[in-house]
Amino acid sequence: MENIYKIKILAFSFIIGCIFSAQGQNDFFVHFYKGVPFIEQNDSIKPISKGSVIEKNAKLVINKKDVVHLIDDKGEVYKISKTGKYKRKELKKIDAEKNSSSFSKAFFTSLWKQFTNAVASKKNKSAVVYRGDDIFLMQDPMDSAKVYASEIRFKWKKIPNKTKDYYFILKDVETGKLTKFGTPTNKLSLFMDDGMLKQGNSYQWTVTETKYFNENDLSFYNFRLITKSEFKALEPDIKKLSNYLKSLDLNKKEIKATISEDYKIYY
Amino acid sequence: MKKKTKLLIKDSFFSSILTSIIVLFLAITFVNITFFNPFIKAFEDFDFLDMYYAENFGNSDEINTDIILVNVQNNSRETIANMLEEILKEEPRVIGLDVIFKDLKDFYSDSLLSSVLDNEKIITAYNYNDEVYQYSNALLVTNNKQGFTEINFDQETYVMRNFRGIRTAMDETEHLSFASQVAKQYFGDSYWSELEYDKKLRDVNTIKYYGDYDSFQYLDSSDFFTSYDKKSGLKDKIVLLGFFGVPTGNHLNVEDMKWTPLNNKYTGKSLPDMFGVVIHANIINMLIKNDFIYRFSNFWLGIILFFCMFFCTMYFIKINKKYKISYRTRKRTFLFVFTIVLMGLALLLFKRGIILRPIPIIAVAILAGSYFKYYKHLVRYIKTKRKWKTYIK
Repeated sequence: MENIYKIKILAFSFIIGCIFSAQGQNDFFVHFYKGVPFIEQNDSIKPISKGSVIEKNAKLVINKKDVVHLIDDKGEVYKISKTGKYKRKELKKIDAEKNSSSFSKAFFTSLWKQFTNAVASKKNKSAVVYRGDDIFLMQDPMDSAKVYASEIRFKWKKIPNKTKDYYFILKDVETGKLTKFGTPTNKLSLFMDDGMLKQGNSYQWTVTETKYFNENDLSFYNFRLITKSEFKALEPDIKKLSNYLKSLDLNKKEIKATISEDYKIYY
Repeated sequence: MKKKTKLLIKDSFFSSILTSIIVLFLAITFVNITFFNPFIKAFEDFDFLDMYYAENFGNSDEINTDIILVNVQNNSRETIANMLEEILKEEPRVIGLDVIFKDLKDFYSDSLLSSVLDNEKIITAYNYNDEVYQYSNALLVTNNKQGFTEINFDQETYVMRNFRGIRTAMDETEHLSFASQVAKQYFGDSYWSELEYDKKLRDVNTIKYYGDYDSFQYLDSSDFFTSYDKKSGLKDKIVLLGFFGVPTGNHLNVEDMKWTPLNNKYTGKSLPDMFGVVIHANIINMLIKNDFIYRFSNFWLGIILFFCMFFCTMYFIKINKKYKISYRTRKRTFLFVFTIVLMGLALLLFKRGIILRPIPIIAVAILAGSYFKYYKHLVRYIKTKRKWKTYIK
C-alpha cells in the first residue's frame, strides 16, 4: 500500500515536473548578430534582425563568419558562431555564457593591477584622429541589406576634387574571394550572372582610395542576394508597407526608395 | 579580566575620545579653507565604491529582458511616430519616451506624432530644474503622464550615484521623475501604494546599476524596421525610447551623456560614459524589482567609526609598549592589511546591497595611530599633577 502511495507521489511529481519544464521552454530572442544569418521556417527563409524570435518550428541558419547571440526569457546569453542549422531543441542544448570570475578573484586581480601599475601603461597619449575613408564613403546598398534584383547599383560618397580612382572591393563571404574594380566615378552596377554574384549568397563590399589596402583595416557593408522563396516570405510585409506608404500619397519610386532606406530591402 | 587589560581598555577609550575631539576641531576649523586645497578639489567627486562598477566586481553575463531600450538616433518625428506605432502593436505594458519635442515642426509629422503620443501607455519626459519647466509642445503631448528627467538635484557632484524619485515644488505640487512615472504605470496605483513608494522615493536613494545599454535588450530604429519583423519580445515589457548614439552606443556622441560609477576611470578627468535613457533604465530596473541599496544612518556610521578607532588605538597602544623598535613597521603593516580587508569588505557589502564607505574608517584608523601620542603626553602631564593609573609607561 505504501509502495503504491510512493509511486503515485513519484508519478505526480513527474507530471508536475513535465508541466513546469514545458513552461520553462523559453523563447529565444536575437540580441546581437554579425554577418547574414537567417531563420528557416515552413520552407521559407526569413532574415533575422535584433529582437527577432526563434519560434518553435524554426531553424536558425548560421553561415561562415556569422555570429548570433541569443537570449532567453531569463536573460541568459547563448553565443553561436559554428556553421549549421539549429533547431530549437539544439539551441536549448547550448550552454549559456556564465561569468566564472568570483568576487575575491576579481578583487585581488584589481589590487594586483593597481600595485603593479598595469593600468597606467594602457593610457593613450596620442593626439591624432583616425579617418577610415571606407566608413564614410559607402552609401547604397546599406549595411545588412537584402537584395532581390538582377542588377545591383553600388553608390558611394564623392570626395570633392578627387581625380584619382576609387577602388571598389567585393568579397564573397562563403569563399572569402575578393574582387577589385578601379573607377573614377562614385557608382558601379553589377549584374546577377551566376558567376561573381549568385542568388542565395552573402557578400560584403567596401570602397577605398588605395589599391594596396590591408583587408583587416577595412570596414565592409554586408548584403545578401536573397532567393525567390526568401523574397516571397518578405512579400506580404512589403505589400503591407507599400499600401501604407501609398496611403500617404507616395509614388511608386518613393515607396521603393523608402522601403530600401528604412527596411534595407532592395528589389 | 586582568588589571592590565582593564587599563588598556580605559586608555584606548580616553585616547579615542581625545582623537575624536581633535578631529572634530580640525574639521570645523578647516571646513571653510578647503576651497584652495587642490587635494580636496581633486577628490571632491570621488567615491571609493565606484570601483565596484568600474572594475566589474558585480559583472553578470545576463541581459536584462524586463526593459527594452530603443534608440531613436537622429530620426525624424515621422519615423519616431512609426516606431511608436509598431511598438504599441506588440502590446508592451509601458512605453517611456525620453525625448522632449519643444517646438512644432511641420504639420504632417507633428500630427502623426501627436496622434500616437495620445496613447495612455506612453510616458513622456519634461525638464525640471531650478523651478523652471520645459515640456514638449502642448499640441504634441496631451496626456498628463509625464515625468521629470533630472536624475538628482545635487549641485555638488557630477557623477550619477543617487536619484530622487519624487520632488515637491515651491508651489507644493508633487512631481514624479520619469523613471518613477514609468514604474508607477507598470505597477498600477494600488501596488505602488503597497510598496510605499510615495514615501520612499521622496528621499535620495542610491542607484543600483545593472549595466550600460548592452546589458539590456536593445534595438535601434533600423533594427526595428529591418525585416518588418514582429518583436514578440516586447509584450508586457517596459520599452524605453531615447537617444544612445549614432551608431548605437557611440560614446563620442556626448549629447545626453552623464558620468556614472561605471566609468572605468574613477579618478581624474574622463569623458562621460552613459546615456541618460540608460540611467533611467537602471533606476526603473531597481524600482520594479524593489531592489534598493541600504545606507547606514549617520548615527550608526558614527558608532562604527568610534569602535574602529577604539580597537585600532588599543592595538597601537599594545604594540607600542611591547615592540619599541619594530613598532612603526608593525603599525604600517597593520594599516596596510586593515585597508585592504576593509576595502574588500566594503565592496562585498555593496554587492549585497549595503553601503559602508571605507574611506572614513581608514581615516580614523590612521588618525588613531597618529594621535594616541597626544594622549600619551597628556597622561604623562596628568601623572605629574596627580595619581593616574595607566597602561602606558
